[in-house]
Amino acid sequence: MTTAATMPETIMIDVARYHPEHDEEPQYERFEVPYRSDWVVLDALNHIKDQDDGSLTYRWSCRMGVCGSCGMMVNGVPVLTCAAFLRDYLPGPVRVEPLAGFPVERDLVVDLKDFIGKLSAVKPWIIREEETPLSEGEYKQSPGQLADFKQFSMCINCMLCYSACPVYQHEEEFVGPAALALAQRYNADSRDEGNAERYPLIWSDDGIWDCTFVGECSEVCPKHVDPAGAIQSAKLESTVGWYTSFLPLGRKRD
Amino acid sequence: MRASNEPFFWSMFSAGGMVAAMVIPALIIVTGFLLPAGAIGFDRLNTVLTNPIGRFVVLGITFLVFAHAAHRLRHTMIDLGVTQFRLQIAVAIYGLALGGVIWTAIVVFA
Amino acid sequence: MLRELSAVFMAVYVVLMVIMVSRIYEGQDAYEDYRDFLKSPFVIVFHLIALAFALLHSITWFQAVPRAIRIRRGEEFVPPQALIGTHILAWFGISVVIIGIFLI
Repeated sequence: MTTAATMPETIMIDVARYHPEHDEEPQYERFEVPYRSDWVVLDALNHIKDQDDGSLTYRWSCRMGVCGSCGMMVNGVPVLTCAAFLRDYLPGPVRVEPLAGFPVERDLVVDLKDFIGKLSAVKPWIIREEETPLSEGEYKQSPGQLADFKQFSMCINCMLCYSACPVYQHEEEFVGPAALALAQRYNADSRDEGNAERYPLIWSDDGIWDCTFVGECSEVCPKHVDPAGAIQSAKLESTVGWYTSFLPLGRKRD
Repeated sequence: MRASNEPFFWSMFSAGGMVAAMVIPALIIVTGFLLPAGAIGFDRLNTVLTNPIGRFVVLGITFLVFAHAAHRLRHTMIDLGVTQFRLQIAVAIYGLALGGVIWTAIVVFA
Repeated sequence: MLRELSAVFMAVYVVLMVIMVSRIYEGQDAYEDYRDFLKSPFVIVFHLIALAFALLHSITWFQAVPRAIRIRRGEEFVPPQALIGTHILAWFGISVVIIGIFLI
């Protein structure tokens, strides 16, 4: 902790600015904002937008680490800016950039299209071979069966894991940590019967096998989903599937 | 979607990683330090290594550690940004590992 | 990245080990020549570095095991520390056996 005597009055924020109609590439603009020990980076951005430049563009919503909108690179590390305290970046300056690995739309806003497409590609919903009619009641699940996937269901789609993943930075086709963890969440759900529909994509070279278990995704995950662990579990399942595909009664390879 | 052949390479990588983790530190202590220090006699070494089980263990460890190292090297190069010539690099690295295994098999069983 | 580099050092060590095995098969004279090579400071330093990398590999490898293998008992998962601990115990046991085989 910084003592009152050394507490600065202000802190410098270097913000990446990009306007697609004027700029060839992003440029940095420096703003001086008041320093408060209880301010987060998002507070500083709101102060800049309010006091200095109303055209500064970024996403945010809940301000409490639930919505997953305000992910940005702060000093090169992907974080939720609503949970990144200025006091942890003293004395500054603090460099704020859009999430790495995604096309920038404007200033700190990135294009979500690729991520959203990958999320839906893993079919993140409960698939039943036959839907039971409502009159027969709900699909029951024990607390233990819930524990099998609960951790993987905490994802808030903030995309920090994609920005942290060294593989995603050069493999555009890689399905990526959050979507693969979500696939694992449904595959491990006792109510779901859709594993076979998800395997062709997640077991492909663009799925889990692009992952080299660097583990950065799990380091930056604000919800402790551990996507790297989810992918390792899926690799184990896929390997068992690969070997049993050679057995007479094994699942055939696609 | 084409089924991946990575499960085979990954299972060898994993088995090799586990075996290496379990045996390599002890083997380095034996052959890197106890042996030059003179704590182990030639006769004992000869007995252990000419035993058929000893021969198979040497070959097995070599195969698994080489498979492990080759796989890790190949993927680390991609992580470091060497993303071109993937097939050529894979063939070269796995080829080198296979060459090492064949050499060991000749040493152990010839 | 050090974790990844450990594989290269272990592979090089295994090459030295296989050379040693082949010298032993050639007989005591060839083996004694190789032992002189093993005694040289350069080779001792290599083995020290290789040992450090091998230990790093062992520890990081065992730590990674519970990430891939999740064992559930009832409503709780077997704690990662228990899985890591089991592997480390096995590791000590195996190491004692290996060193014992050569020393006894």
